[in-house]
Amino acid sequence: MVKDEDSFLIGRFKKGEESAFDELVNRYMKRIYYLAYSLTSNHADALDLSQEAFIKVYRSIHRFKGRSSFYTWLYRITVNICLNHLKKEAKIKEVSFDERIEVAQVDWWSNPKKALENKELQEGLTKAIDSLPPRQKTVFTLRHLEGLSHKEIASILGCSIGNVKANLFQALQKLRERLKGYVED
Amino acid sequence: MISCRKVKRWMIDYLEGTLSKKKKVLFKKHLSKCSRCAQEVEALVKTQRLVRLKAREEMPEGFWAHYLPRLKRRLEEKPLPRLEWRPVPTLALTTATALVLLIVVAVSLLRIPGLDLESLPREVLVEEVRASNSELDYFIADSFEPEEIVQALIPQEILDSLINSNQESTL
Repeated sequence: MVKDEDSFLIGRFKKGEESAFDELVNRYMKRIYYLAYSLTSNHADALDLSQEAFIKVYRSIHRFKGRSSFYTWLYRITVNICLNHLKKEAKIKEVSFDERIEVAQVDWWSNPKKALENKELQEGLTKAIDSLPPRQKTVFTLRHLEGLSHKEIASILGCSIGNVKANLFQALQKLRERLKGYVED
Repeated sequence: MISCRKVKRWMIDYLEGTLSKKKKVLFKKHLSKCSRCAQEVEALVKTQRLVRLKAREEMPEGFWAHYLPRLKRRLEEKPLPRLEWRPVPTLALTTATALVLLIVVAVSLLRIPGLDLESLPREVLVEEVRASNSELDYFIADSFEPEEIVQALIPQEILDSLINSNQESTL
């Protein structure tokens, strides 16, 4: 259904209807912005890079043949822009996994609302995810924060499903180390 | 019993509940016998549950109201490049740029003071040039024999003049 609506909007935009592009932006701006934010952890960068992705879509819509869904294509563009930015800015800093996030022992999952509001926990989670290598961080973000399937992630990153699972496993292992204070009894 | 290695390979499917019934039985059987894997699974289950508690910092509605107008302004500031004016295909342009870069790398290598070019075997020189830029390696590796690269790209008279100037500078 969503795919059909996207195809309809893309068709209109290809025929020169600017308002169809506006509708596509309104439809996806939040998801793309938050994806960029998850990858960069910076609001200014997320705004700039997510808009860069839409500019790329605007300029190269004629190349979109509809073989994959529009959002897969849009996600691929966004992920590539963000990864290039991170590489350029050298924003990803490998964090030693000896450096663990120490926290008070609280049974967070029995009270998710409290967990969502807990600043210390949220900062700890952000820091831990930020410390992942770019590829693992991207796969992890697409799976756990964006809720995409393994197949969709593989399509976005141009890799196999096995590769996605391997990256997810490595990411989880690193997060387990970083978040030992929360996870261990 | 399945190996610990296989348990790791199946871990993500187990954690996400996509492991087949048959594999799940084997997986759990292994956990009942291997305390190390059982501990790891337990810790990863907890980690996965914990990271799902990560809240998303919502942006205010006013922010979204300005998103599209701002994007439109950026689109106006950066007009669409006129692709039809390009006289050569992108690949040809890239190839030319790559070859020019190769020559620059080769020339800079040849200008290293004190480098005795006459005694340097051609294959070594070629390998040095190629090692200086892996992207160029990738680009031309299938197109040229190593000996052909310097020969084809740097005319002998230029090579000779560089050797002469190098010798003068070291005198």
